[in-house]
Order: sequence, then C-alpha cells, then structure tokens
Amino acid sequence: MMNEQDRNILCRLIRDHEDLIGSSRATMLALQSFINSIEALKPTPGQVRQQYMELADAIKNTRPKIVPLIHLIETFETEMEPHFEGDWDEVRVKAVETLRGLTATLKDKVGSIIQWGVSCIEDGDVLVMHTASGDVMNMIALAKEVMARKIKVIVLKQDFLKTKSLINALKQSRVEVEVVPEFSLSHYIGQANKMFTGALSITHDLKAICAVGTANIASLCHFHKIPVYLFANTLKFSHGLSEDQKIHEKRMSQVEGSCNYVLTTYSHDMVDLHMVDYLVTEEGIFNQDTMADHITNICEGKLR
Amino acid sequence: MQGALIPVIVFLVVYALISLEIVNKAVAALLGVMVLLTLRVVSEHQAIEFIDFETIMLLLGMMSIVAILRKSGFFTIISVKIAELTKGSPLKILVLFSVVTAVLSAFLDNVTTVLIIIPIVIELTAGMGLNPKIYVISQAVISNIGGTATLIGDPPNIIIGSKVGLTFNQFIFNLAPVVIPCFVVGLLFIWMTNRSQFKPIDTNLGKLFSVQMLLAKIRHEFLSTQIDRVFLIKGLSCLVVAILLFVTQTVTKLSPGVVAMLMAMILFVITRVDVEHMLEEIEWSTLLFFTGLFILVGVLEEKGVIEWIAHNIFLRVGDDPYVLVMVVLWVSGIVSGFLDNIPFTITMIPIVHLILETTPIPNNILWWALSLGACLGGNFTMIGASANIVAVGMAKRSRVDITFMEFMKFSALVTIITLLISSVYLMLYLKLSL
Repeated sequence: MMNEQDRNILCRLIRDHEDLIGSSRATMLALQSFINSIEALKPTPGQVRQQYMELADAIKNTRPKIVPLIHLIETFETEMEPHFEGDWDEVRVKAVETLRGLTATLKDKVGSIIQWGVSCIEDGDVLVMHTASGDVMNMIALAKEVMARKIKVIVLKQDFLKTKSLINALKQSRVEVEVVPEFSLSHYIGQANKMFTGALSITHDLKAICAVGTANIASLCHFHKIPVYLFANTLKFSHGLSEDQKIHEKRMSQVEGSCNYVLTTYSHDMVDLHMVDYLVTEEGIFNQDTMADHITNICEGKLR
Repeated sequence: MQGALIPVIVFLVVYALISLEIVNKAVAALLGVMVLLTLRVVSEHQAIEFIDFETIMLLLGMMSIVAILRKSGFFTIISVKIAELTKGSPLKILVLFSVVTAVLSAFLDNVTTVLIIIPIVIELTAGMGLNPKIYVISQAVISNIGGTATLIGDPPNIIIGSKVGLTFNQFIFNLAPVVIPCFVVGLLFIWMTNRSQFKPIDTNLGKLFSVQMLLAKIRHEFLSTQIDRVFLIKGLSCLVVAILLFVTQTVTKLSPGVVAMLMAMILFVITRVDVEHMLEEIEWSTLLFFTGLFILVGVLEEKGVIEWIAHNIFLRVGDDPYVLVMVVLWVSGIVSGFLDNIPFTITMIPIVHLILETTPIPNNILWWALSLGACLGGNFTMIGASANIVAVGMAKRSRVDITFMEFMKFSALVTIITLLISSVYLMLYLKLSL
C-alpha cells in the first residue's frame, strides 16, 4: 500500500518530469509508466481496486496539479469502474487497453497543436524561449527540418538542466541558438519578434500556470509588443481557479558568505492571460478577443 | 644500515603526512624526495633509477584509455541499461550493479568504476525511498574485491605485477578463483544482514509506477548528452586489443606498461581527441605520488632498511611457509585497512623478495598473499582504499552521510570473511604446491 513517503516520492517525480520535459510529454510518460507497472504487477487478490484507487488518488493530488494527466486518469477511473471486480488478467488487459486509448487521444491533440503551431512560424523569425516545452520543441523541429524555415531562437538561460535540455533539442534540429541570461532579455527586444511558451494548465479565471520565469518574460515581451504565443491543448484547461492549482512552494535555508536567509521558491508561475497575445490549442489559434470565450466554453463543457 | 637514519625519518614523516591527510599525497612523497636530494642522501641519477617506469606507463596508459572511453558516454550507457534491467527490484539493484562494478573494477581502476556507478545507484535508490547507504558501501567494497582479480584492477596489483614481472594471465588464473567466491559470499553477506531492505516491489502498483517514472528520469538526466558512436567503437576496440595483448603477453613479450601506453597513443591519434583536454583528465597527482614513493622506498632498500625489517620482523616468525603466507596476508590486510595500500605494497615488495630468498615458496604464493591482503584489506575501513573515500565523498554530495563507523561496521566483516576465504585458498594452494 502507498504510504506518505511513497506519495511524496511520486509527487516529486511527476513534478520533476513536468519541469524538465513539459506537461504533455510528462503525461504521456506517466501513462506509459502506468501501463508498464500494471504489466509487472503481481497483486494480492482483493487488493486490485484499492491499489488502482490509491495510485489514481496520488496522481490527482500532486503539487502542482498536472491537469492533463488528472483529466485522463479521471476518464480511466470511469471506464475501469465496472471491471475492477473481474479476474486479474481481464482487469489488466482492460486497464492497458484503456490507457493506450488515452495515450492515443493525447497524441492526437498534441499532433493537432503542432500543426497549428507550425503555421505560426515564418522565415526570419527570432523566437524567445526559456523552457523546453515538448509541443513547442516538436513544432520548431518540424518547421526547421521539414519546412526548412530559417529561424533563430534566443534561449534565456535559467536552471541548468532545463536550459541544457532546451539547447540540446534545438541543436538537434539544427536551429540557430543564442544563449543569454534570463535577465539580459532587454538587449534582444529589437531583435526578437515572437515569444513561444507552453503551459501546465489554463484555469477558469484566465490564468496560465507556466514554468518559473514565464511571467516576467511574457510581461516584458508583451510590454514591448513582441507577441506572446501560448501553446496548450484543451486537456490542460481546468475548471478550477489558479489558486487551486497547488503550485509547489519550497523554503530552503541559504548561507552565502556571512548572510543567512530563508529562500522561498515556487515550482511554477501564474501568468495573466492578458499578457498572452495568441493561445494555440488543437482547435485553432485564438487571439485576445476570442481566447476568453474559448477557455470558458471548454471549461464549462467539462463542468457539465 | 649506515646512513639510514635520515631516510627512515623522512619516510616515517611522509607516511604520517599521507595517512593523516595533512598534505596532498603526491606533495608529501615528492617533498620527502626533495629533502633526501637536498641532504645528498641520494643523487638525482640514483633517484631516477629507483622509479619503476613500467608501473607508471601502465597507469598512465590505462588512465588515458579510460578518460577517452568516459568521454564517449560508454559507461553512462552501461549504468543506465543496468538501472533499467533492475526494474526497481532492490535485490536486482544490489546484484546487477555489483556484477558490473566487479567486472569494471577488474579491467579499470576502482576509483573510475565508483565514479561511474555510485551516482546512478544513489539516484535510483534514494529516488525509490530506499536507504542508499548500504548500496554505496556495498559498491565500494565490491569494487575492491573485483579489482583484486587482475593485474590492472587495483594499484597494488599493478605495482606487484610490474616490479615482480608477473603476467596478466598469472594474476587472473591465480586470483580469479579466490575472488569469485569472495564476491559471491560478500554479496550473500550483504543480502543476509540487510534482508528487510531487499523486499520485492512487484506487489505494489504505486511503487512500480514510481520506479518507471524514476527510470525515465534517469534516462533523461544521464543520457541527455549525445553518445559519439564512432568514438565509442574506437575506444572499446582499443581497450579490447589492450586486454588481448595483456593476455598474450607471454607470446608477444610486450610488457603491460608498453601495451597500455601504445593503445592509449593509438587512441589519441585515431580519435583526434583534444589531447590537452584529455590530459587534464589524467590523475597526475597519483602518478607523481607513485614516482615519489618509488624513490623513497628505493633509498630505504639501498640503505639496508628493508633487509633489516624483513629479518627482524617477518623472518622472526620462522621459516614455515604456511606461517609466512598467513603473516603476509593478514598483516597486509590489516595494515592496508588503516594506511594507504600503495606505499605499503611498494614497501613490502623488497621485503617479500628477501623472505623468498631465505624461504622459497612455490607458484608465487607469497605474492598472491600480498596482493590479496593489500587489495581486500582496503575494505577494512572507509580510508583503506581510494574507492571507499571517493564513494563516501560522492554520497555526501548527494546528502547521504556515511560515518566512519557505519562503513566499518559493514565493511570490516566483509573484509574478515574475504581474508578468511583467501587464507583457505592459499593454504590449499600451498599444500598442493609443496
């Protein structure tokens, strides 16, 4: 059975993946991990339902909430509910089949968003990026490798692992890269013409939960009329409010020289969608005038 | 023993500086040499003659080959693949990583092996909520056991092989039969004494899920750098050729030092690697440490100090070969646990030569006793072998604090068991040889 330590470990692992590879890829990875673990499981009879429920509950209560994964796990629970009392082999087959179906749904949505996203990339674009969102990386790769778009990416350096991952992905696609510290963006305002970012979730109160640093960068770009593009499939839309997304807060004692202090860090930023010029989902590209309605419609649809 | 006082004092001071880690080992040894040169106890030409260049070449060559292989990403691939094979089973983590550690340690140096294995073992075990201490200590201990099996596995063996002229095959044929049972019994001991930590996880869906996520994280973190396949093939080919040349030493008449340096230079040429950058990866301080020690012990030998120790300490126990073999094995084992086994081995080689002059013991059994004692004895304490110090240091950087007593509580018993197995082996070997 899962104890508190197991839950904390799982929560940290999901958060780490989301942080490094973005929520879409982290969700796909979680679904694949779920399939692999079901295939390896040798359950005690009578504990199958409890084990599924415990894991589903742990996944749904991570900090922060991984909204697309939660939506898919909720669907999984609904579909599995009538089958839990059956023979273990039947439960396993059904569970794996359901999870594969959910993975395919997610892949379709991601595929569509990439298609829409590619249409936002033009020859000569100089893009500002600071986090390796899986969807954004795939669309840049497609634009560069298949459509031979001439683009340059200004990578804003932040956490080393994330920046390394972003640089490696861009270099693999042979995209021209210029790496600058996050705080030096002001020197590139004249050069950059678009900012691309992904999101973990988009909430009913019109906020996007994005990687740390996004709020500052999006604000600066928006202020300087560099259009901000936010890419998020509709599974990321949450009917909850931004304050309910359980952004992970961490306090750490720091000692630098003779100075001791407690540093508070957050796993994600909250970005007001007023700072976002275009929202790109699998259903199309929405500008400032239409995005609020699109979000409300989807969220209320989910509520119903 | 005329004129021996100054070299003896210098040697003891250097030994104290090294053991108490007051200054860098290489600096301590070379400072001792400089004092002897300044006081004209030894001339520059004599000092140079005391250096065993065969050992230095073998070490430098192997360090160069390993540095290039590390750059290729080969070791990272192996450790990630092993992590995947374990599927998060605590027992498989122990067994599979131990097998890899033992095999790598037999053909590379132990510190390199520990540097490759420990980060991924900590990531895997800590990530699963297991106690990484037992895994870290076991890998350090296993690397010292594995390294005992070959000529190139552990510095004491490199020194013995070069100074005595024993071949790669002689080491593997005479030591592997005792190292394998030591490894198996060592692993069994680790499992038996910590059984609660190795429970299977395949009945727990939550743990299985976490392990899958963790393995994906490890893959992403450790394999995010590009693997250079051409580089990898060239590096591995040269390592394989080097090992083949070690094995066929009696036919080719090429010494291991020449083979290692030859393959390293070929590798530098065919990979067109940035030589300056690669040379930074070489442990120059270790090479200088060896150089200094060879000179210090050479002076002691020349002044008759070694002969005095052999006659007044070791030969006092009599001339019974069984007793002599046991004395060399256990003295080497215990001393190597508390002092650096490299200077100890360099000091012991002329002593063993003198013992053999008075009491010939067949089939190099006394050398195998020295090798087993010096290599396995390194497991006695945290400071007994470089691999232990490096493993504990890496664990500390990952916030896993292992105390001296925690290490010793576990490793000392393994050392006693492996020395007992070695005793039985050497006794039987001697009985069959006499």
